[in-house]
Amino acid sequence: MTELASLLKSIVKTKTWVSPSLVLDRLGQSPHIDSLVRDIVRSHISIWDRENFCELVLMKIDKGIKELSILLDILAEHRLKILREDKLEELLKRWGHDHEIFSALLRYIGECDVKTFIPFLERKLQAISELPMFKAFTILDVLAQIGDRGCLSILERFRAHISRAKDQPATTVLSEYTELASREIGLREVMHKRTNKKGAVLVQCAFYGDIARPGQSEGGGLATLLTTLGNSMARSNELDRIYTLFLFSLETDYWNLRLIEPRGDENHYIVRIPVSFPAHDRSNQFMIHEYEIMRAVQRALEQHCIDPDIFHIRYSDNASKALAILSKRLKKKLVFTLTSDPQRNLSGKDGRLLNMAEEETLFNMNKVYIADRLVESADGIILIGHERKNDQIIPYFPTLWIIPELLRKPLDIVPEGIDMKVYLKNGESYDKFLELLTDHEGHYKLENAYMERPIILNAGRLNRVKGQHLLLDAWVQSKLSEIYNLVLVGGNLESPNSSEHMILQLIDNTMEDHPELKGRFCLLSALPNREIRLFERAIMERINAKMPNVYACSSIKEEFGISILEAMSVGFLAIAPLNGGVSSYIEDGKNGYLIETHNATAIKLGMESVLLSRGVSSRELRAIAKKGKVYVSRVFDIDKVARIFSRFYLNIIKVS
Amino acid sequence: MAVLRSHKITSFSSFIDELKRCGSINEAFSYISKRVSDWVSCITDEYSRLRYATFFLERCGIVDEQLPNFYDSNEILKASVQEVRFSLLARKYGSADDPLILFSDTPAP
Repeated sequence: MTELASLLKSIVKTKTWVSPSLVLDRLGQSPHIDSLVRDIVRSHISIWDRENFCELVLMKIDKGIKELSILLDILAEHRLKILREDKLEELLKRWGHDHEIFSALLRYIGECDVKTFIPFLERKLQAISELPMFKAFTILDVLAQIGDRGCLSILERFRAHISRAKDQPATTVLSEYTELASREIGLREVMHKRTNKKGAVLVQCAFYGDIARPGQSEGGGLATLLTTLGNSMARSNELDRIYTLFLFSLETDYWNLRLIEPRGDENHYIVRIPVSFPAHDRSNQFMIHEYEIMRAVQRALEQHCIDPDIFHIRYSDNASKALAILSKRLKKKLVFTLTSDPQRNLSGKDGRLLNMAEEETLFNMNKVYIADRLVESADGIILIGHERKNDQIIPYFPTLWIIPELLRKPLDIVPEGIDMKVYLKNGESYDKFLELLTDHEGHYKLENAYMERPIILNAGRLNRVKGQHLLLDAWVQSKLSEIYNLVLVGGNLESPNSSEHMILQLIDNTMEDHPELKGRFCLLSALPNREIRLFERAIMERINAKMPNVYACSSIKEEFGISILEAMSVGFLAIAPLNGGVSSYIEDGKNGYLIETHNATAIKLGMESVLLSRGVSSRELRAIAKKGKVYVSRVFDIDKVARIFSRFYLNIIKVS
Repeated sequence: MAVLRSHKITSFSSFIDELKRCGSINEAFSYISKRVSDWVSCITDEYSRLRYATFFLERCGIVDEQLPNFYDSNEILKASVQEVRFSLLARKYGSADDPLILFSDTPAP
């Protein structure tokens, strides 16, 4: 499979001739191969005989092959309206129960503007009680895309119907989506749907996690960063509007969220893009649903009347690839934040190439391939670093500094940042936040008798890669548990997902073996970013033991570690992973500490070497924490970072 | 201009010329792998070396019908070198049909 993937990538890269039948025959072997086949179709469709290509696709559809949804998406993406109505009806009848194929059929109807199916869509909406939620959204989307004023009455009836069903969890969001559909149809007819743009409009993508659920899903740090950054850019008024996109899984997501909402400032909006796939295992889901993401984002832009000048993507994954393709189609500028993940993790500690199984190799090589393509297609490149330094990219990207066309691209090195202006509001108090330690719904809380002791804090989603279970093991095995309380914040403790459940089980097992530590260990559900920041401040304000309060990041590796910066900014002594990007801002023993985090013993030894070492006094540790605080405040203030980004975007627009 | 672009590469054209004198992709890859750290100062690990080696290999233009025999052991190495070899073959013959037929279950049309 790796050999075939290499061959298909070389075909995309060289744009060499290849027969469409040979390419389409490769569909269905794996999501990696399917994704590359779609890339070849994109790069070759203009040189293939269109009629011949369409015949080949029709033949395959007639055979009823399992990769039907991919073929339908290819037709929809390239707007090849080749399916006869009776064929479409037959497919809808036969595959209406299949989530993937039904969605793909409707995308085809929408993109190919098959208006004769409007009555079919209307009939489906009328039978609302039989409609699963994803189908209702898909139908509303396509109806809004191809419908005319005649559809408005049915949409109105649908909205009235769902507003009566107030006990249904999805009422709010479905009602909002129906209203958007009506508005889209109404505005299309009067032809003045574009908002008055006063300046540059940025769309930034945060496809892992959601700001409404920090610490509960993948990518909480990214959601926090982009929301804070968006707010700050909006305040500075250098850009006209900022839209931060999150994905909204119709399968599992929270129905009380809004699809579009202002955030912090009226010029910054959170936009949630409805998608049919689940929120877990996103990298893999992005690969399978690359076209769905591309189209869903385009549809959301149309529905919300957003006319972006720049798209900013931040990960080397198929969702970023989808957005890159979309930006080129819409003739918009593209900015890509390039990191060396996975490149720098493909060699071991001894510097030698890691031996990987085929599936893992395919996964990593797909990210490498996407990163290379995005570097080529981006109009501007951002690297993460500060003081204009980044030494992690050049070892893996020769093209970036040797190929003249790439060398000319705008590039900047920008730190990530945090909001330094998080304060108590009227009626709030630090004591109230501190009470969370002793008084909450969870199973593990501190006892008042131990409240004088310093705290080791860790905040983040509950997941194996974040290593909270290892940190707990390290703490119970160490003399540190005699001095420090341990506080973990993260995850949805009321309704944990599978990975959260696994970590909770490990935590329970450890604590069952150590009943003597009850009352010195606290586990709290994830808190919104503002609350965790105030909680950290409360700890620093109210708990002043001889030893400093510590923020311990136990992740196996951390790409950057926004949560570490946040804790450092209020004076926690940071102990963070040696592996990853934290070393770009923590200088070991100067403004924090870097330790090995690959297992509990390594974490225990690392933390003991810092906190129990006779060579470093508690006063010196406090001085190091203070240096960290000063450094973070000076370098990572989000307002400074936002100014760099805004100017970078404006420069790219100016260059164009 | 960002600091990262100030890296220096030693006489790029001269070692591409040296590479072109290699008789096979095998020979060229071995040669580059040994020498690339002398040419480029920023290599940090084996994958970094492989990235630069494949970059130069692709530019040396040696097209070899034979499968290189030095990379059966590591999937990352295999995938990376295969991609370059296929790119070079595709550019030379102007078509990727022949290698793709090898992956086909059905006979060539």
